[in-house]
Amino acid sequence: MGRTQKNFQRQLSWNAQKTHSIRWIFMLLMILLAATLVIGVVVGPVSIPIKEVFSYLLGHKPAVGGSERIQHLIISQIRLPRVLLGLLVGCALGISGGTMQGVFRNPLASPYVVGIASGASTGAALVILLNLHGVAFLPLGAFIGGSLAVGIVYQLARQRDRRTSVYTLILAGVAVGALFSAITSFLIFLSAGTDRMTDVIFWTMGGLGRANWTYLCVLAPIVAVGSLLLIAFSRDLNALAMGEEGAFHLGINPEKSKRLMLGVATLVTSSAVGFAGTIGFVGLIIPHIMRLIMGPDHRFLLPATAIAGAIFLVWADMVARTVVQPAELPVGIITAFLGAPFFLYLLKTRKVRM
Amino acid sequence: MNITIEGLHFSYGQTPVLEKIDLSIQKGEIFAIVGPNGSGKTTLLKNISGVLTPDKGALYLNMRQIADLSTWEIARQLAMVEQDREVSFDFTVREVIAIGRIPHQSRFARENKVDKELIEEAMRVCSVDSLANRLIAEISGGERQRVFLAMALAQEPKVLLLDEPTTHLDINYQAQIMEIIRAQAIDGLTVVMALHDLNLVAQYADRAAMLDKGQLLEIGKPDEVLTEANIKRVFHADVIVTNHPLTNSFYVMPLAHRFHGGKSRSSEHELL
Repeated sequence: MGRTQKNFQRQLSWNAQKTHSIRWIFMLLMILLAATLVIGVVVGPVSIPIKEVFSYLLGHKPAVGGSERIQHLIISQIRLPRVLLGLLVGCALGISGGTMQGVFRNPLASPYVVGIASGASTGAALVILLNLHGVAFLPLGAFIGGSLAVGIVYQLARQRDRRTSVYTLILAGVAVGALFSAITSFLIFLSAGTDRMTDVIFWTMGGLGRANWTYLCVLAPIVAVGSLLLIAFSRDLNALAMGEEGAFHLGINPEKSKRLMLGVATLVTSSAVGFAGTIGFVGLIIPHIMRLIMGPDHRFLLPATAIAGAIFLVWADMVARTVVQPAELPVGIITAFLGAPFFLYLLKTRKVRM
Repeated sequence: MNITIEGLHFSYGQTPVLEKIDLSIQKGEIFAIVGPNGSGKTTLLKNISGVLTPDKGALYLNMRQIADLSTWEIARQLAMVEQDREVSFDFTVREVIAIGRIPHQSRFARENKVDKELIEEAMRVCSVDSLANRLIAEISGGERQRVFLAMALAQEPKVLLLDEPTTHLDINYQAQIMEIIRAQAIDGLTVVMALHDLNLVAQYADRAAMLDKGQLLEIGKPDEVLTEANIKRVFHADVIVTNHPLTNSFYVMPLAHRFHGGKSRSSEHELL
């Protein structure tokens, strides 16, 4: 970390203790979250007055045939599911990223870097191509693929001295990610000419455009329970920051707790990928920025990354659907435009530990 | 809290590291483990801490076998500062010390009044209170060692294990660390440490054990263990052990070859 950045962080965490600003950060995040929910519904090709958003949320039923009726229909069938899916997926990616950085003791780890996203894509693509109906198959297939990928990377990156080397981690992640991407491409190739092919291609680009209430009903409980579990185990990550033996001396079984957290993070990420395709960099930059603002204590960091990830993805999606109107960009393009330079900047400035 | 070790054997794979260790350490004692590099000092500490499981033999904390205790139960009674601990992420000094409270906190608990008092007490004892808001990565090696000691004390241990707590430290920091440890032992803390500085052992340890290739050569008061003959046998070094005229504690002084019968250069490696 650069000198100025360090001073910046020191000053911030100093303030955090002095003024209990962590509480204020969470209040601010909650206000932003509420605002994002409303603005996300308002913004779009058809603009919807804020008044109608509140009228919908309050459960008012407009008269048949009026323009309000159409606006309420847009809210309930298009905008709201999309914003909610964005919140859930962003929350999933943010908190998983924060968890993985803690588990691998490295700020460069993310669901993308460790190959989960690619593995989950392959699993979900297979589900689409095999034409398995039933909405639960998508997260299931994605979870199997994601677990396979992260399992391989985890085993490779663990060295004999049990410390995870950042280079091995990133290289193994890239290699495994490439392998799974190749499998996905091969699957698409095999399906050439069928309707399934377009489905998969659109899906792999990543986006929230296919949001519907059925998706939300499946994803919401997974993300909610998963996030709560990760937050419950967040202090184990603080212990793990002292090294595996350090964690052991604090009463934490390092291997058990790493496996559990990695497993839950994989489930949460894979399910998000299953419904929204691969959306990169949220899990990398959100935990990093939040750590800069509030310090590395995972008990506060993980809930903060969940909320901030949700806010960030909905805003990225708003940009994606308004910047080239009337067309729509896949949201993964927006997050990559923001995230990739940030990642390179981190690689350059961060003191990378072997 | 007493520590009893009975017939302990430990090996890494096929290589035996510790053989037939019998040891009994009393409450409030400062017990030093000495021996050259590779003699098994760290391995012995790791067996006591429960990180490693012995192949044969048993270890007891106050009559309870360590193998029967959960990681959690061990952590509530025993703290260890291992060598060269690396902290990932930019935690502040106070945050690191607060992590030492984990074994006494329930999963969702935030820092309560007792935690706060113990953290501040530990910081004061180790004189790191002025560093509270500094980043752990930014302070000096001596300061960091005191922070880890404070973290271990905040854990309210009954047994404290230290692996080379004074390595890489300047002489003033060495004495400072040892004084803190001595004060804690007077209050009833059992301290076991691996130490390669024999003079610190002479000055601060109540008893010491000398390890030679994984076996206990001698256990006793420092002056019984650190004899010229024992040091010659285990370290292959010629030393003079004598009483210091001022402190009246004894000290160990290595002899350079040229003062010792003028041996030829070819045998010089024995000294090194």
